[in-house]
Amino acid sequence: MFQARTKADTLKELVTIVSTLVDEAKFTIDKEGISLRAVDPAHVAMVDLKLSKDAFDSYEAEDTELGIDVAKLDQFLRLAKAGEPIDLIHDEEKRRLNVTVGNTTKKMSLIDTTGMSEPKVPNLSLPAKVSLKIEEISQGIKASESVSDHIALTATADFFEIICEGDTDQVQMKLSKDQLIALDCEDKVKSLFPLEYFSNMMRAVPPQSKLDMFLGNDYPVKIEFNISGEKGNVTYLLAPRIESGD
Amino acid sequence: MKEIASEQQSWTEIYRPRKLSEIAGNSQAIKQLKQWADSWMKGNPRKRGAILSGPPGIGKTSAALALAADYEWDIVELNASDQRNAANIDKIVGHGSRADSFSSDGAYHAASTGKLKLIVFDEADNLFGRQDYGGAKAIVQALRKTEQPIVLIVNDYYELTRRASGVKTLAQTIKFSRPNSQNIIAVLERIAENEGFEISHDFLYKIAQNSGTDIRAAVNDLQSIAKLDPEQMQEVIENLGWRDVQPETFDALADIFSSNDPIAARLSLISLDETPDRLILWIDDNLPAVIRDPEDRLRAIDYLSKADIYLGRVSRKQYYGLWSYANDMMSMGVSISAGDRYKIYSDTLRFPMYLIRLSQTKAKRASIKSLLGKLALYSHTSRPIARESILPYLRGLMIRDIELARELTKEMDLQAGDLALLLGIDSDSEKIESILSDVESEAPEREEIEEQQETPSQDESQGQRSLFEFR
Repeated sequence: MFQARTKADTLKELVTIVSTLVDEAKFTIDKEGISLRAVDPAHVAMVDLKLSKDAFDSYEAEDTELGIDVAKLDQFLRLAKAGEPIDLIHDEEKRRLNVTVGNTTKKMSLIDTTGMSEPKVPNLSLPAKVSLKIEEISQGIKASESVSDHIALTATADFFEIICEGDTDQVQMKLSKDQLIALDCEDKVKSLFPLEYFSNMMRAVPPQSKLDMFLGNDYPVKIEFNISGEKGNVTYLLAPRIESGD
Repeated sequence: MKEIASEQQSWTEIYRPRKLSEIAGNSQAIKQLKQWADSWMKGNPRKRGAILSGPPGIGKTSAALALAADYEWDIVELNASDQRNAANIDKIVGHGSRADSFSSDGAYHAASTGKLKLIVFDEADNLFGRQDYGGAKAIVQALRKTEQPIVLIVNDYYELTRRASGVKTLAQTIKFSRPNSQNIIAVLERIAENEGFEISHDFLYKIAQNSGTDIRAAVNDLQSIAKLDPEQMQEVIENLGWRDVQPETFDALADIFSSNDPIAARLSLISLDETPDRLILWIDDNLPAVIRDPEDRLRAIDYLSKADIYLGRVSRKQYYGLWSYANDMMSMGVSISAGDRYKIYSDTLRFPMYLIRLSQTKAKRASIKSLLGKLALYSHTSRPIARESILPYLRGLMIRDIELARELTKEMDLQAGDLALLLGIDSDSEKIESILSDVESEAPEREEIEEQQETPSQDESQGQRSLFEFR
């Protein structure tokens, strides 16, 4: 059983974060809240998301799993205004999720979850930690988008840097330690990432969020941030691009 | 619990080989596949992809999955049920092949430590529908840039290489052949033992024979009779229909050119799902490359020419009974001439040039036809006559006399493509543009009148009434 009511923006945030990586996802629901872990179809990125029941206006649930077409849900939620309440009701008999915005109800067929994998978040040792506001980084990413399809993230003891090198142009964005919320790094680390993924993930981060970014050398990046105030948290993982000799 | 699971699930999935050593037969192909995988472990190899080619149901996909398991690689599959247009291929194969990966259980695979990601493209010869538009090109591009191993699985090697010829140089071709019945019996025995039911060797032999070397078919047959008691089993097995195996064109050609067995050559030719008038192109195109000795070649071509005579009679008299003689001439005749003196390899044979040319010139032929149609209508003749006695003269006249060109364009409603053919210049050249724009600017009044006349009838047909009707 699952029945909940929430503000549209809470749900929109969540769906945007998930639909950035996958079209279909398995949501695990229990008494305490909703959680989800998924790997994107190309196996390049992963999302781990938890949203406590406190983020909902009302929340009633027993343990269950819902396979949801998030691309479809995302489209429907665009109809809702920011503060508008949204009702979610799981119709177990007909295997549907009924989503109500205002006077409109969309009855969405659920997807079979048996084939869906349940990834574990890998244990990665990432020596550098950079904390910053999402707004600080988004300008650099936007500037990079037309330049190349990959982006280098570098952290040293003194600064954090984004470099995007194309065939003809280069974009560089450097944030010194005092421009960041926190910088915790001893030795210089640098990794290269697929820009499209990185920029899509950053675009899904709600405005004004504080990001914790964990970096290593030619190693994945881990990005953590909170959603719905402190009532939910998200971890994104992105695999590095392979730098080959040729 | 286990019983229920295996009843519901298909045995072909449950008993899919998990390791390369469990694949039935095909030891040569498995060896090549391993060598290719090893070359990846030593850094980026020259051949970044591998094409696994062979008939359905003999373990190509299983081999790819088992390879990933043996080497502890991550695996990403693109099946025929996924949308495989250029954008989607670029996302999964393009981006995915240039980054490290997280496996579906969440483990991090760093390519630099030898933990690669195998991208498996199933039914890669089958992605050329409208929905998969641009897919072939995207595959070639992905193969060029990939940092991760890519496997393309095809039933029809020629279909893939014809559409995406670039893959030939970028990927290594590994040919899978049909396993023999001993290989299949071994697989069936293993399954029967695991499922815990008794079945005699004779029965297994029959199933294997009957499957026509399609392991998947054999396992499905075994599953379908597993629950019967011995007597019923006996009855069912005796009545099992023969599965008609469709050998590929390649196999048939191999039988014709190098088996020294005219009867086998004939049988495998007629079991192909192709008409003799196309098959003769295959044989004709490949014959000179395979049969090297001039005298053998002469005899073979002589037989082929007799087959062609029959085909000519078929098309003239519309008597399709003669097809069988054409078949006999081109299969048995060529087989006798070639004997067993010639070896053929997977890359010896090629797709008939004639068919390639036909598909390349399809658009051009269509535009000639459309132009001739307009000429024929205008001059009250047939298309062949328009081609022979009007087209060449009109071309000469129109090139010299631009006014005439303009006049005729209007009269015959010629388009840019027609004019290009007539004048022998590019369709986007200035001359054609000026003619067309002159003709258009002359005729606006007539068009307007036509439009006005059409407008009311259109409204009626749509059933939508105008608000102004109610004023």
